[in-house]
Amino acid sequence: MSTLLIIFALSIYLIFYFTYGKFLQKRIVGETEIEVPSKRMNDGVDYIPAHRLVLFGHHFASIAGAGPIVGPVLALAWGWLPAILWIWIGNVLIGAVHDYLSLMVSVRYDGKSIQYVAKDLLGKNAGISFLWFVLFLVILVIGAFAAIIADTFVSVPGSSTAYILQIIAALILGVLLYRSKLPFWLSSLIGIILLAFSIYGGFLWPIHLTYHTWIIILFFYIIIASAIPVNILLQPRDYLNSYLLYFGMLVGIVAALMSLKSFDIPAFTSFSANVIGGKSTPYWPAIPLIIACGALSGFHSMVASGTSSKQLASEGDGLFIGYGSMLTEGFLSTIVIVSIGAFGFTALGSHSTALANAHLFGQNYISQFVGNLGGAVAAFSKSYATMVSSMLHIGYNFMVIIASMWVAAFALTTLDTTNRIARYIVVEISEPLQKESITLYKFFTNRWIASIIPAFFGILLAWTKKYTVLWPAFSGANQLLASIALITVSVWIYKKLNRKYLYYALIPGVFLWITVTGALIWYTILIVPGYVKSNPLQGFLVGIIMVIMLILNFVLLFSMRSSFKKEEE
Amino acid sequence: MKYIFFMGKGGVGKSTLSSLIAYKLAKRGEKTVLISLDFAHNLGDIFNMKIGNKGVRLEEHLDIFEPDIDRWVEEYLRNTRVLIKENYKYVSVFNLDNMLNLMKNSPGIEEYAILHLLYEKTKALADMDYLVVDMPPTALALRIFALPFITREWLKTLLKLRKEILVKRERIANVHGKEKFDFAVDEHEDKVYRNLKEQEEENAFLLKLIQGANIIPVTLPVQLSFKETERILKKLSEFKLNVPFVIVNRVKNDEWKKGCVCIEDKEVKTFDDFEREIKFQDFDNIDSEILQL
Amino acid sequence: MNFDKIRRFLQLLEEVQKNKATDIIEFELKETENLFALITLGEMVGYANPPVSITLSLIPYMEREVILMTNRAVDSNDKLSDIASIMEVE
Repeated sequence: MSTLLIIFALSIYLIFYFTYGKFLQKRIVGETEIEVPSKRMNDGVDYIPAHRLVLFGHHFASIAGAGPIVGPVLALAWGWLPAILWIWIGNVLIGAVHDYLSLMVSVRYDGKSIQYVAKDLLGKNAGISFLWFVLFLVILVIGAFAAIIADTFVSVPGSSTAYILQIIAALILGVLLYRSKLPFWLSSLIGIILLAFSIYGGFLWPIHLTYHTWIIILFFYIIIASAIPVNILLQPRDYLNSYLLYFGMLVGIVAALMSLKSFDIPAFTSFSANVIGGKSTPYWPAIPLIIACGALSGFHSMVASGTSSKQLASEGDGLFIGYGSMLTEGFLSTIVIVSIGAFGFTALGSHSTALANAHLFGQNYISQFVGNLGGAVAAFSKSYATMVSSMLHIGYNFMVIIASMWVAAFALTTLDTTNRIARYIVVEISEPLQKESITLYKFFTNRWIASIIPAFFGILLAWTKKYTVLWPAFSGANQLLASIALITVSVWIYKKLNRKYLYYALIPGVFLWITVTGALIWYTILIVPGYVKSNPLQGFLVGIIMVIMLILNFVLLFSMRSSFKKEEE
Repeated sequence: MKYIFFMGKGGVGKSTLSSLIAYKLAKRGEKTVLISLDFAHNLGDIFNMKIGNKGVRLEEHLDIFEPDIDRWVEEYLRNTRVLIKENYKYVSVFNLDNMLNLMKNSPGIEEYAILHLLYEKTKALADMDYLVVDMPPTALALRIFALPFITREWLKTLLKLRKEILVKRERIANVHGKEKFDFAVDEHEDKVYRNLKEQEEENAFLLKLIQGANIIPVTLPVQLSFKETERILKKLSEFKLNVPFVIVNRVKNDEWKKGCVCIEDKEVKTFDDFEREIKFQDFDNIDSEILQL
Repeated sequence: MNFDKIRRFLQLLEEVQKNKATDIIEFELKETENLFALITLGEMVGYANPPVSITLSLIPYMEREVILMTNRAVDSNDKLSDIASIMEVE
């Protein structure tokens, strides 16, 4: 079953790439005589054509992180079939379409960002909503990821040591890469060896600290990391992480292909398994709040319309980069499903009767299964390690640390890099203040303040330890962002391309809008009050964010309607 | 070489005084250069001959120059444009033309032109004993003296930032190899860095020149002129420049002293009515004073 | 022939990794260069500007910075996606 699923996933992705993808490319986007921005506007600085493989590498590295791993772990509460279906269908029909069309609209708009295009096609409100969604996304992602990381560090103590040692490895690699005369491959090799040592070090010297101690450490880490010059830590660390990703994916694929094992967890548990905040959660509309990045991520529209569109060497490469890299990410999520689906129970070992049948499994998966394995990341890494160690005979404990560190490292990257993005947005959002109150403006745009505010709110949320509440909120913001992008490209198809094909973007867009809006309303009414009861401060914060996002979401819908109407006239 | 700058309000007799002193120094056997940095040149009128940019050797020891500042500015802008066209691959020159036109009229270009001319002349005539400079009217003259100080601060900032850029480029080039990018990595290769260094060198030279120079304000024995001289002295002391004394020109009798409170702390040299006494031998005391500086 | 193809492929992979090892620095470099351009050519954008002599003297050698500044001026409010492209958020 496990092997079959991998092969099946590969076939689906290949078939859709060559049929649906090509259809989008040929029929909807079509051809244009105008050259791509990287050639027409080539300036040797920002606009430079890049080889498709190089661009793919960059694009994929930017979109693949901890997101496509954590979501599927939680979604397995509904059973592996509903989870994998959303990953696959969401991926080929919504997520990859979203990424590809965002890339192409940006290409046709001289490499301008999706936010700019949204403003142009939908009006000013869309641009502002976009900014706010990103800000909320950033705060919530810090909250969710910090909680997940601290959880992982507690349940897999070796991973924290490994991570700290990786920082040292990154510092050394930084010197080798940027200052020494060593060839690139040699510095990299030394870096990889050091990385292996740091994982071994994690194996030898696990650090045992409490959850809240880790949260405090993470807070200071975020602030400090954003002040250190990038070439010292951030850049070499990110570079090292890329090897963790390659290794993790490659080994995962090989092991999964070899596994030939049936799934131990139920294919389907119930429509309303207990997922978010321990409450019974309806699969529809809540699923996009759980599986975001592996199926659809609004954040990708920003990546696609950032540097990728400025470096695309020909429009033909767009499908490979936009559609292709999203499929690859979906594939990563598939590996997660396979690892836990087939090896989760083995990893868990003895378990209570709480997981005895499908219905009970659905009710108790998060608390008894994921919880007993040590949280979302630990659940994945232990299952994954079980799979890899039994197939490829690599030490189990070693693989647990590698896998947890892989996910934690990416999540940590998120923490310090989102902080930079947040700083930018805070400055941007504060702009109107400049006229009202220059003192306030100066306060908010101060380098330190702008970076402490989002980190502070994020960490405040993480303090509650409730990542199953925070994760859906983050995903919700992310999906709303995707919905803006999808609506934007729909209007683009309608106005600038062929009206006949409007529905290929509009249907997923509207479907997503309805689903996410429904899910967020459900979340706000049923989940937030419970959160407020246990953690008033954080509960209100999340509640306010939800309400604002919902309002902006409706504003957006009206912008779209009037934008279509204007075109009719 | 010693430098003597005459400055003051228009019409106080800077040109005549500087001509007089240059002439007397030359007569004493000091190799002397006299430069007018005023737009309204009138050395030619004083010596009754055409002088111009190339200069004239008047006596055995006296060279006089009247550089054409406007023409220099125009030439300088033309050269800049040519350099841009030579060096730019991507940017259309249209925009830059626009920009250069803007710059032609932007404040500061004249001050720079004057300083640069002074730099060139001084460098070329390094073996002379005295350089006597006839400065333009007060406002411009003060801006000229201030410019090297301001420039020094800006160059410091820019060089620091540029170094930061080069370090970042070096990090990148260390990974990718230098060939991959068309930016310069090395301090010696980077034309911007080199240019900044050249500017810094020129500016340091000018600063040293100005800081070592004797600046002699010239004033008339009237309230308005005194007030202005007061401002000049204040400004020059802000930059810690040497002002050995102030010359009060066209004094008929002692009555000027009443209005002179403001410049009391400076020794004041007086002259009889300038129009009447225009005989060089009457100024014996002044050139020996200057020789003592 | 085949060997050449493999070599080319490996070269591309190396380039992918090299980019991975420098993308954030490159982004910061461009930001600094833009700042440099803004300071030296500040006259045009209404910033405090250095003496015009410095500007004029440097302009001929600042093509890269001028391009960057012009690009940034066009999309001054549009940098978010560029940052997002370099930072790994999810």
